[in-house]
Amino acid sequence: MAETISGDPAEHLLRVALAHPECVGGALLNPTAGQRRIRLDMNVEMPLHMKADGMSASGVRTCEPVEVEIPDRYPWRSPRFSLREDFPRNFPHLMPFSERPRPCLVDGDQDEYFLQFGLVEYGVFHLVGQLAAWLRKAAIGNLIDPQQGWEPMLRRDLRHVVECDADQARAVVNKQGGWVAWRAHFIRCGAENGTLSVGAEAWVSSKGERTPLMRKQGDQSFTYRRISDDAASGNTVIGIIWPDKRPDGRPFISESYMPETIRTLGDLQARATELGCGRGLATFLSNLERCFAGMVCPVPVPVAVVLCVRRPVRLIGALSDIELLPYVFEIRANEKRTSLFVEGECEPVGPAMHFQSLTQSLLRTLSGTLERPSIALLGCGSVGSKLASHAARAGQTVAALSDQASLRPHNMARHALGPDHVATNKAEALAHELAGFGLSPAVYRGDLVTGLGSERDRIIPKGTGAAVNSTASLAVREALVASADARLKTRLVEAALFGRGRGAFLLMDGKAHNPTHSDLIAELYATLDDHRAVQLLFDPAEGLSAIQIGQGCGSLTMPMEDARLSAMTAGLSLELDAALSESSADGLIVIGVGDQRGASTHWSRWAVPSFEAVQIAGSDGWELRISQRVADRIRAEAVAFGSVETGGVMIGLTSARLKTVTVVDLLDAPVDSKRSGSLFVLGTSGLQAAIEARHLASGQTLFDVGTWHSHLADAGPSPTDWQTAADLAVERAPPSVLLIATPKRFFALMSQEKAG
Amino acid sequence: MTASITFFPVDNGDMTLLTFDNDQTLLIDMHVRKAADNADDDTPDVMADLRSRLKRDAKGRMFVDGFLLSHPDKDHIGGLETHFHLGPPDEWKKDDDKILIREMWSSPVVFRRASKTHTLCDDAKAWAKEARRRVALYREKGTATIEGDRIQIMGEDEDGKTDDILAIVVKADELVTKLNRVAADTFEAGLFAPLPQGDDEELDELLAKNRSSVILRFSIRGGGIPDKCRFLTGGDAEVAIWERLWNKHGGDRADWLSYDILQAPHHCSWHSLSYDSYSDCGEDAEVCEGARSALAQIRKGAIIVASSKTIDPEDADPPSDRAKREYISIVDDAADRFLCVADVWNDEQRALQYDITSSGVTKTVKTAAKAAVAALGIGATASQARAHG
Repeated sequence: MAETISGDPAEHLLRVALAHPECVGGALLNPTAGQRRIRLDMNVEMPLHMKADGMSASGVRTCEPVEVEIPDRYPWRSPRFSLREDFPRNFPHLMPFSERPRPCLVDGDQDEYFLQFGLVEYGVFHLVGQLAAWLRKAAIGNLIDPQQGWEPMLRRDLRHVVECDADQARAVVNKQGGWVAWRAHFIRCGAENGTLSVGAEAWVSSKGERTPLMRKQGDQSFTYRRISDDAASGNTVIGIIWPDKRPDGRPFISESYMPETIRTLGDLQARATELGCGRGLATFLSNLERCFAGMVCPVPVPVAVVLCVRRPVRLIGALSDIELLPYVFEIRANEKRTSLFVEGECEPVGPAMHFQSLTQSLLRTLSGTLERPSIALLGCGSVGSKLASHAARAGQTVAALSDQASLRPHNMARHALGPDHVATNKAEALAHELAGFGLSPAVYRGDLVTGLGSERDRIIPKGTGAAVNSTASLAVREALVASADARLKTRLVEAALFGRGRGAFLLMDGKAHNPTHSDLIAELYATLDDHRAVQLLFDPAEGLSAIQIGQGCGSLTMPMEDARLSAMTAGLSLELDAALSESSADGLIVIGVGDQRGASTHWSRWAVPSFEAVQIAGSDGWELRISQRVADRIRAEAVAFGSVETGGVMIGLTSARLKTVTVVDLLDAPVDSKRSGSLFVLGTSGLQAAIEARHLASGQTLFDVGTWHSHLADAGPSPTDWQTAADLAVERAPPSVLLIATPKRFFALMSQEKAG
Repeated sequence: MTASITFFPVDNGDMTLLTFDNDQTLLIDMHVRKAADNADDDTPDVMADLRSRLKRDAKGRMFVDGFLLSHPDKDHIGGLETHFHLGPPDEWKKDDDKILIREMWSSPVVFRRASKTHTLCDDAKAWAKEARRRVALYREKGTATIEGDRIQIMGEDEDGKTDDILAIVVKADELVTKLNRVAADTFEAGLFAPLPQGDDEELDELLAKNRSSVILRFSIRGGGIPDKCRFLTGGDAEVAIWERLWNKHGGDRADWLSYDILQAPHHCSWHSLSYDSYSDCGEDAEVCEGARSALAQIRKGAIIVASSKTIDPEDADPPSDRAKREYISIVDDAADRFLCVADVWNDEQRALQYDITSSGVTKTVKTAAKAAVAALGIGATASQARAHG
């Protein structure tokens, strides 16, 4: 492809490189093995006192010759850079094993970096820039910036893999030196007579379970099973080895960077000794030999060791100063052997990449999240299953899952789980899926409405941070509110979609469960002023009422794409995370409203302070719950009228099961009302129409729940008040409350006949 | 943040920004010529460069933590009124968007009466007025003054005009350790001049001899490690001053004058190194050994920076080619350790900057993007009128 550049690509490359201010000279070199090569002379800026010597403390010269090789497929491949042969090797970012030192110039694939530039000149120029920067860093302190942290040894592109939890490995490291063996599983690819240096590759993974490294009859510590002609798997071990302390008692710290040059068992033993891990490795190996004493197993079993090296500063991107250096070798328990290592000290050893095993900590790191309170999910339908998946993938704990229903074929339109799970219980299937993320949530398969009354701890285990109700069921909402006593420290959340997934809301109750979800939903009805949200929420076919009627079956009758449901649920998940990390004492309402078309969604959120609760006299345990907003309005109006009693009509919701009357709005007293120092008479002019208008405006949810009036003194209900309450009870079926606002407190009453 | 020293290209003049590793900034002198403020002129737009390096406070005001004026000559203070806010900080205006000087560092020359023969430029008068405003405020409020009202006086006034405000005066041979009242150990600076005079010289005489220049030797922390860079700067101080300093300190305290970077005094003038006139004596003009010694206390690899236009032997002094040769001899005869700010501009189209890190003092290189634009000819189409037939 070199034809795409006019003229000789080597000349062209040299010309472009020389345009870089740090490239001060260069020449075309004779091709070797048909490869075009050039030399670049790179100026290396370094501290003045080193510059005076012409060489930095680390051995980098002020002018470094760099050889550039132009690959066959240039410019579809990046040119390759190599340094002089005697360039110091003790740097990270040097490719292991290459004959001439090759600097690792970009974090990632160098071809990809080169090809991102449309102009070849730009690509070359920027590579030369990266090279200049690499050399400048190499000139000062081994490319390790103590403030940034220790640069781990470059292990990218190695063939062998050791998979384990780094934190778990670091956790076994103590001041005294030592080793432990962990049970592990291996997969080996390549012919049985191949070695790790030629032809064979190994992947060894462990969950960090200790094993005593003893072999008894029938023991499964080491097994070998052929999968195909050139692949096998089985059980093995990983040896975790850490440094002895120094003779003076101080910890063994390895301060200098060593290139990864380990190829044989002898190399590994020498390196382990340099790193203070020599004794640990020797003991591990001799235990391994002893474990196989008298046994014959003439197949290659890969074994991994991880040297835990203590560095002077913490590693980049980690909180620990311990670097893990994993290696893989093979043992063969042949007949009449002298050692498990056929070639003795020359037995091939392969440096391996470390893959972090799947842990919550890994997931949190990759998600960029902190650990948040655990959640219990009430309802494992499409919304619940996706909220659980988001939480699990972000490394959060899902403590419990509840659902009575089984997965049915139609659920596959939107559920987080796939068709393999059809016909199994939703909560169980989801728990099975989450087990792969290291989670073991409790599962509840019973009816939530009754369960919340009698076995709440199975649905919301003690210590759970938040319980999320995604059932879209009014009955579950009320059962949850009813079950929320003072002992329940878990924050309660409700999440649901409406309007065919064009809208979503999230409610979180306040501290000590005040305001409740019922309070919050009434507050939402009363205060929502976003036109599109109102339209979606109160839509007769697809609004909230549709969900309530559906009670879980709603999803069947609310057609929407998985993408739409997922988009809204992802938003809910983010809002839930934010709410849990803030943990305000107030309640919270979040509402998301999507555009008519497309994916744009607008999320708004507002805090709702605790409601004022007033026991209703004359009832059997009913409670009047007044929004702070409304209570303030009542007090303000009472003060404004000063010398006479005043009042009005209360608007809200009533729940017979919770025995609550919730007040979230007021209607002003009609114009024909009469106010005096001892009496307030609520007029009638236009009142009926006003109540109906308010009812319609709230999507037919809010209605008149009673009246309020003020008393000038701190006196409770008068005989007149009791009489009015009795009259109201006779005149209408729903409970009707009288609220009395005195200068110091509220009184509430309702007539006994109707209460309950 | 990385500590650094930046020399802006202002031809024969000084304009140097010190940034410490706690983000504090100290500007030493300025010389903004009218042409530099003209976008279509080739003169480097040093104010745009300076502003890109400064931060804004909570009120949106761009600021320097300190501004040291070595002495009130036009090539050290030109452009002050145009670009810096003077007067009470509350009167800063968003529309003008001038730079607030949190603390002034001034020589006591501001207490002198106007001279009959040596007329101060308007910017120098404005500096003196602002300095007197701040001193008056200090007399009234003491240390309760806020950022934008603060001042430190570099050297005692000869007539005792600073005797009642000694708390804000640094005497010769003492250390400056605070910048805008912050003592963060990011630097310390030994004050060598101006020295108090025994006799009562007139202002014009002082200025004529360039004796009023403030001379400071900074020791700057880099990457959290103290004394990573020593920087000696002395405005336009002439040979007599340097000789006197050497006579005073040369014995036991020569180390006080040692440096990694020296700003060649008076834009590489011959008169900082010799009493002889080069135009009269030519190569026979003798170097004053005392002055040379004061300016020759190099640390390993030290460099000398001439804040001047390109040095041409044919042109008038300053800058002096003879002085340049003498300076090169000071830096171990290594010609690449003598840098002229104008040459750096001509080669690299940027200010000369040294970063101070835990590794030492390193010249910065052009960022990749800027280098690419220049090297690969991006925008070259617009560099001249092109005929299209």
